[in-house]
Amino acid sequence: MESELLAAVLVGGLALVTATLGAIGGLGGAVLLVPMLVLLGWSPLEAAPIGIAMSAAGALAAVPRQTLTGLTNYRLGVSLEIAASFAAAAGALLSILLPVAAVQYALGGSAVIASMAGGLRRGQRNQPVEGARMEDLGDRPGRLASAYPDQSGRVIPYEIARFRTGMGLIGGAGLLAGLTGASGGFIKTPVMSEVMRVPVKVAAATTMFMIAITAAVTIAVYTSQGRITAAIAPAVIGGLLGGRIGAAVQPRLPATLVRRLLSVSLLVIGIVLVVRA
Amino acid sequence: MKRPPLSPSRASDVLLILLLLVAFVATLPIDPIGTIALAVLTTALVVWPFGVLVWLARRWARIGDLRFVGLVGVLLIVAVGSAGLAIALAG
Repeated sequence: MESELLAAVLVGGLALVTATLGAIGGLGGAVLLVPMLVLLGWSPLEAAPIGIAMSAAGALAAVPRQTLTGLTNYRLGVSLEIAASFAAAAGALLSILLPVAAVQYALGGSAVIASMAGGLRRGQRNQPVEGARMEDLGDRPGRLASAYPDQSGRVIPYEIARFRTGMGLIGGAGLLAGLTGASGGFIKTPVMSEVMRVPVKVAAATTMFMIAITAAVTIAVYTSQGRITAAIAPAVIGGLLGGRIGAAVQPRLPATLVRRLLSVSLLVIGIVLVVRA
Repeated sequence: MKRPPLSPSRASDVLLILLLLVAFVATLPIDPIGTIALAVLTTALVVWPFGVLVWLARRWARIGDLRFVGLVGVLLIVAVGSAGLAIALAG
């Protein structure tokens, strides 16, 4: 009984930390939580549903807050998630044909490259515009371009670049995610930020919305397989609290700091994936 | 007297607190309350994002942004279809 309580507290605590990081950097966090649980003695089959439940809870707690602060670009998220979901389904079907280790090397390598692309970039691409109003925040009819507030409340408009390339890469991330069972947030956020030139905070918030959909589909599949047990409950508590904390902290951080945090997290994720492979 | 509707921020806070309570009950080893709470929790995690998609579709339909309403429809079909396919294959 005591060991069960200790395990629940441990899972809840780790979920809180990874969900907070996940909401700030748009990573989801399962890619960090699952290897930690495996190292602590959980089997990968038990750890995967705990990780995805934490990601779902973190996203559900973060998305409403990030929507209110004008960070989530729903139009971009819906457009990209179609490619990601379709490719993830294809990846899940192909997963029996390809060696998992090779795919994990590819994912780990992608995370390290994304970490370097974001980490080596200096300065801030989009700047506040005089005369821009708070009413301009959020998505606009018929357009993917939008505006978001910086940490001091100034409005920064942005455009989306290389949409087709980005959609192809997000599809590729979905395929890799489907092959390995990850939600792929750690690829989606850097692709949006570095390839499509979406501001990093908007990319992170939009990815959280996309993760909520991916995680919902995965949880439905795990439920049908009988893999959802009471062990997910502490992870959901940690995920809900962490997601809300991350979403509350993120708007107050400068974009350059969020990008650095994301780069460091991606480097850790890349190393973890390669070591696991 | 008619009560004012909850603001989106307040409504999401209320849902968050309710979900936290349900998750806490799901950790308790008391049957059947724990099992019911786990079922409610799982359903909420699955249904909530699709509820957001339906909310978006309604919002965009109201302002006549039908291209994006169509995209939400495609996403719903792809997401539900891929889940159904995976469940069928696992079965």
